Amino acid sequence: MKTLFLTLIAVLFLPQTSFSLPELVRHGYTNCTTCHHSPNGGGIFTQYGRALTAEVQSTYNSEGESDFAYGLVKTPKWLEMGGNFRSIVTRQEYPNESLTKFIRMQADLETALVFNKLKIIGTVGLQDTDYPSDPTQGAFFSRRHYLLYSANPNLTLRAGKFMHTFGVMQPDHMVPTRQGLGWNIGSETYNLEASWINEEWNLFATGVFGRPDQSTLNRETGFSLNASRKLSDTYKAGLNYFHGSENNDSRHVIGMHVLAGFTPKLYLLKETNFEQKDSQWNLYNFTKLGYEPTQGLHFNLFLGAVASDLSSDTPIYYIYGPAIQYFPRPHIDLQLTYEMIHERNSSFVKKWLTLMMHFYL
Amino acid sequence: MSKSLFIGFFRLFILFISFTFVSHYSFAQDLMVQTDTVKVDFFAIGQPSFLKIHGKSEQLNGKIQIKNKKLTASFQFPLNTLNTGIKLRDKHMKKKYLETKAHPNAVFEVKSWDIPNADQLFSTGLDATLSGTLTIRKIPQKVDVQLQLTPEGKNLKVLAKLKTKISDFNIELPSFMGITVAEDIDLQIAFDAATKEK
Repeated sequence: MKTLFLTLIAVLFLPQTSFSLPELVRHGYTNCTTCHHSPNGGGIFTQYGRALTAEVQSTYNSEGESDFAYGLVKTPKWLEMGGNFRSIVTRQEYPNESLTKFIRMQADLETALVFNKLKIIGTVGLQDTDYPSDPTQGAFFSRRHYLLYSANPNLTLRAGKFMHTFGVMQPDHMVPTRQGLGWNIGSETYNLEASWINEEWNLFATGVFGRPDQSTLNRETGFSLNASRKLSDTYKAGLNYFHGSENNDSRHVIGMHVLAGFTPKLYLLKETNFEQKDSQWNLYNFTKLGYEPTQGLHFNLFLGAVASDLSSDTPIYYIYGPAIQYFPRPHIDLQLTYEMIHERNSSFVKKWLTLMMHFYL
Repeated sequence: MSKSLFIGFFRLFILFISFTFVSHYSFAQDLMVQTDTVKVDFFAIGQPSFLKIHGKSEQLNGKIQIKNKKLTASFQFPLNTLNTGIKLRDKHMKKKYLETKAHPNAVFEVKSWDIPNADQLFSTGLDATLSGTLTIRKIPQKVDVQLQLTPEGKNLKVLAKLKTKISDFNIELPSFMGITVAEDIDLQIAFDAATKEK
C-alpha cells in the first residue's frame, strides 16, 4: 500500500495539459465559458479567451498577436483552432538516487466547429505515455472530442469524451486533488453532461460512462454533481460530489473549493476532497497562493496534503514549494517549480525541480 | 415715543421680517462636484457566458443648484475616460459604439425638481427618485434616478443609481470577440458635492 502510495505521490505535480486559468477570478472572470468553449474550462479558447491571453495574461503583446497561429492562418467564423505543445525537464532527487528527465507531455491540435447552438470539438495528437515500451507510445489519439448543444443561454448539454467536472478545474491536474483521485492526464472518460450557468451559479450534472472503447483503461463509471456560486465579483465557492464504481469497488468523493481574488494581483485557489473507499476515508487537499507583481509574472506557493486513511495512523504526505510562472507574450507559458514531498513523522523527502515549457497555437 | 416714530419702527420691523422670510426661500446654493471624490461605475452582462463587465471612471464635472426648494443639476461625463480593464475592448467600445471623438460627453440634467422635505436636506439627507435627462450621442432619454444625499456639514455626499438601455441611444449592441453585451446597463455615480454659497 505504501509503495503504491509513494508511486502515486512521485508523479504528483507534473504540470498541466489542459490550459485553463481559474486564477483569472481575480479579474472577475468567474465563468469558464468566457474564455473556453468547454463549460468546465480548459481546451480551445473562445475568441474572447484569446484576447485575454494578450490583454490580461501576458507581459507584452501586440495587436493580433494572440490570434490562432499569430494570425498567419485565417479561419472562417465557424471554424476555430488551437493547439498545445508542452514538455518538461525535471530533476528528481530521492533519498538514494537522483535523475534528470525530459518528457514531451503533449502535442495536440484542437478544433471547434461552431454552428449556432451546436459545437463539435475535438483534439488529435501524439500519445506520450512516458513509457517507451508502451505500444501506444507515439500513436495518434484524441484526448477530447464532444458535442455541445446550447439549449438556451443557461442550459448546455454535452456528450463525448472529456474530463468530468469536479472542484477547481485547474491545469495542474497532477495535484493531489486531480491525480490523487485518479483524474490525471489521459483519464478523460465518455460522459453525458448537463450544465446550467447564470451570473451567479454554475451547476453541473454528469453521467460518467468510463472508457467503453478501451476496456483496459479507466473503466470507472458513475456520476458527479457540482454546484458553485459567485460570492462577489472575484470570489467563488463550490461543492462537489462524485460516485464511481469499477468491478466490485465503489467510492464516494465529496469536496469543496474556493477561488478567491483578493486583489487583481493576489489570489488563492483551494480545494479539499474526502474520498470514501474500502470503508476508509482519504483526504486530498490543495492550496495555491499566487501573487502577480507585474502582468504575466506569477509567484506561487502551493501546499498539498494526502492522507490515505484518516481513521488510522497511516502517513500524511505534504507536498509544498514555490513556483514561478511567466507568460512573456501570448502563446508562451513557462513555469519553474520546486517541490518537496514530505512524509509526516519520517525523514523521507523527495525534491523535484521542474521546468515546464508550453507553447499554444 | 411718538406715534409716527412707532409706525416707522413697526414698518422697519415688518420689512426686516419680510426680507428675512423672502431671502430664506430665495436663498440659492450651488453644490460643485469635488472631482477628486468621483466614482462612476457601469455594469453590464456579456453573453454567452454571463460575463460581468464593469466599467469605471473617476471623472465627472457639474453642479447641483438648490433654490426655492427645487433642485436643478447638470453633469458632464467624459466617455473617453471609461475603463473596463481590457484595453482592446475599451478601444472598441469608444471607437465603434460610443463614438467618443464625435460625442465626447454624456450629459445628465435635472430641471427644477421639487425636493421632498427640503428644509431637512442638510440635516437628515434625502433618499428619493427623481427624473432627469441623460444625453448620449446627442440622443436625450428620460431616466429615473435613485438618489441618495447624505449631509456632511455644508456639503452633500451624492450617490445616484440608474438603469438604462443601450438601444435607447441608438447604439447597436456591442460585441467584442464573441461576447455580446446585453441591453440593460446599470450606472452608479458617487461623489461629494461642496457648497458654494451665492
